[in-house]
Amino acid sequence: MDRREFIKNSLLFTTGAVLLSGCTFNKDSAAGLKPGTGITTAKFKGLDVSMLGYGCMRMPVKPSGEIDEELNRKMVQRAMEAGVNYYDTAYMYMGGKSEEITGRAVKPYDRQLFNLTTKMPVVMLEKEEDVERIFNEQLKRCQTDYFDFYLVHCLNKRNWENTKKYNVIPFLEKMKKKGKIKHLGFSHHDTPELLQEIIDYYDKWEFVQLQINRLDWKTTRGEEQYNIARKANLPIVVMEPLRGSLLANLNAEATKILKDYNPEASAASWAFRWLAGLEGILTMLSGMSRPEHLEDNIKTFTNLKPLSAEENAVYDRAIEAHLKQAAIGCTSCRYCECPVGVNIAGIFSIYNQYKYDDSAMKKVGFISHYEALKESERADKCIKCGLCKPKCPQQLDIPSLLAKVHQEYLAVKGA
Amino acid sequence: MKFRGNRKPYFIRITAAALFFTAEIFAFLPAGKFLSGLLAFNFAPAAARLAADFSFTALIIVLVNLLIAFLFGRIYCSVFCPFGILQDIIGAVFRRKSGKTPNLFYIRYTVLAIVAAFIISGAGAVLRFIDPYSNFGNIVTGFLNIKTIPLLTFLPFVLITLLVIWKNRIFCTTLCPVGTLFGLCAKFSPKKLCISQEICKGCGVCEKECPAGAINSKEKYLDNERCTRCLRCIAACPGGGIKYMTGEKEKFLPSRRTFIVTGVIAAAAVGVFAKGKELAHTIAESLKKRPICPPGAVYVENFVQKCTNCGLCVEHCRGRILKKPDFEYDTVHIDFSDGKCEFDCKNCSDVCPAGAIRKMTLEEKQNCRIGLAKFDYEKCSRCGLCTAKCPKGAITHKYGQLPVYTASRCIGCGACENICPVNAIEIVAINPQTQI
Repeated sequence: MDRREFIKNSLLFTTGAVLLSGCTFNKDSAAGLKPGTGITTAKFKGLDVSMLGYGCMRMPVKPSGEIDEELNRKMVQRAMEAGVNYYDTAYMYMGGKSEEITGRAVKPYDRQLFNLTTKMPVVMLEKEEDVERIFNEQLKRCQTDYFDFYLVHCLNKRNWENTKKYNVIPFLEKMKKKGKIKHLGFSHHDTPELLQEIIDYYDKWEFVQLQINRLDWKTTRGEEQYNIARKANLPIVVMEPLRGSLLANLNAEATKILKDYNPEASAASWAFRWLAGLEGILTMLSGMSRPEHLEDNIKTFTNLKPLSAEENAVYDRAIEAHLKQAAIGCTSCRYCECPVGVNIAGIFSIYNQYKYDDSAMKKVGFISHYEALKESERADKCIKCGLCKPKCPQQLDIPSLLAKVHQEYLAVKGA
Repeated sequence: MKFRGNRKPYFIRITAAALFFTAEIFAFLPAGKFLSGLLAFNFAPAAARLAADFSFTALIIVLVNLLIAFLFGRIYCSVFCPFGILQDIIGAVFRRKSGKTPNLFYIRYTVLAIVAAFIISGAGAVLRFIDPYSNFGNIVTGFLNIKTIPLLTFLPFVLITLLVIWKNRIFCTTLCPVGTLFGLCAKFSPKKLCISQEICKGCGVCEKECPAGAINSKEKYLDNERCTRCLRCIAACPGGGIKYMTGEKEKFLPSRRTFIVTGVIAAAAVGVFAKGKELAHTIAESLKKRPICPPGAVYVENFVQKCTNCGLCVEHCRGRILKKPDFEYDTVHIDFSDGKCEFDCKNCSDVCPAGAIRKMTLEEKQNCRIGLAKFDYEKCSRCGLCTAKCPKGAITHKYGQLPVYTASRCIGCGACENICPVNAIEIVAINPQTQI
């Protein structure tokens, strides 16, 4: 062998390896698979939309923190087979990776037979040209020519001003005429008053996405928002039906009440069935980060039945028992994005778990979970800059809550 | 040394090398900022930039360099490469004559393959260990800051001196990935530097002069792949027997284990390529503390992987706050104890040859948040100096009261931390950097 052959060998070997690894990516690219049926559907302008919407804000992640795309693909496959036909992503989800990953996951399926939804991130707009740039980027990321449902994302006072300032609605209307958007709506994260204002401002909204669940029904004026949407005759896409998994992980007392009545049913299924009792719901978005969540939801949404009057009373009792313990109303949406890297949602989730835990080990569990966070991610690293506050859709006073959690940690540790 | 041949090409080359070398050192001095563009012509930072942050400038630099190597051989190594010239200088100081240097091509190709795989997979940080330009920068900045820099950073200088004393330009022919790549280009060039079979009497003067060990005078063979084009052989040959001509058929050096070596190299390259991203992640995670990075670094993780640690930005930082890696931070970082990030300066963004600090307009830089201020109101003496110094109007203050901080205006320039007489303000690192 001489040098020329040596180089040739290396090249061949490398090319071969690259090709081989390339092949594994393409192994199941058969196009045009049909989704199954079985999930209860709602009628919407001639469409049968599955009442279970596949939320892409809480994708499965590996222990390293990286998105587990392979597992996500398998879960989407399972959901498609079961009959889930509404897939809801957004530009900002999963640090901006959700759209691409969702696009790849639904690629094998017949585009006519499922609904793909994404949203215009008004919060990120800095000039009018951004609207078109982002929209085109979204089409590319999702590998599609059109979106079935398209929302103006996360409207609160500031974002609504942006929406008007940068002429978002006229642009989206143009896209609708071109057929790149089938149905236009918005997601709302503010007061009922603003909701009314937005609905009155534009008469061609086709649907609205609201945060409705048993916890927000009274406490954050969910009922009023629901009534406004019903009066305007807008079908409702429900977000946070489990309030960021809070309703799936009730405290021990509430769980006992539910289990005593029906040992089979999960806490999540109660929450969904409570929602099923409301009129005018188009779909409920569930961000399923484990295959177990998906399986449980498929069970709940196959022949979805609202709660009976008796069950409703039981659920009310359970929620009451749950609310007796104070906790933080964080839904882990992670819009807050702390600039110095405090893991806000993680800290609140650990704190809530601690608060809802009735076992003797609760303090040990709290300390060990809290200390499992990297030092740079803990609550005492908060510099109280307050940049998170306007970003929080739940309008939490994050800096003071963080201080509270850290004080509790010091107290528990000192005791 | 007694040169009895045609000395003119050699002296031209020496003059050119001296000019470039002086300019390249001068580019590290504050007055030499206009020359920093010259350093961007270095191959490795341009290649790293191409992989990490594509730009046409970098592409052109890479292609022009490869073309020059193809047409004229490794001229870069003797005329432009500051690390190569540094080795020539060290060699001259220690009066090194080369002995026989083995052609360790398997080491050379392995290094190239691994480094290339690292760069393509985004872990460009590996360049700081092996790239000639980065090591040169490291040495220059080391000498320029000799009082404040720990002695350990002189390790590259000590190592290269020892290598030169041992076998002269062995780094260039055996380890340097840039040289290996240029060598491959030169090898397939139509025009080569050759020993004329008719003129050569086999006296062996050229072999003794060659610092790269590229000449075998017995076989009258000059290995263009390793030849760094120092042109000493032309000057030394009494009969003028070494000249540019259309290359003879390349003589190959066979190896018994070539096949195994090929496999190992390719497997290593593919393996590194597959693992490089993860490795990059691990390296970034292993940083003990989050450093404050220069404006334009955006993500710390990316910055750590793109920065080749040449130290050019450190030398051009007007506020003298950019520091070389030390025991606390394993990367170029900001330390506000000596100054602040000057509001109307963006030298670091202008000079960075590797694209680790992205190019910005002054307005962009003035709106680039690199950190946030943390106030310790218990220490605060309510003097109001910070209010006066803040270039963004992020701090307001009424006489005798605590200052009010508006984080949404703050870019973390450190002016307040720098002026605070009671150390009540600390700039905290953020990740990623954002435009406000």
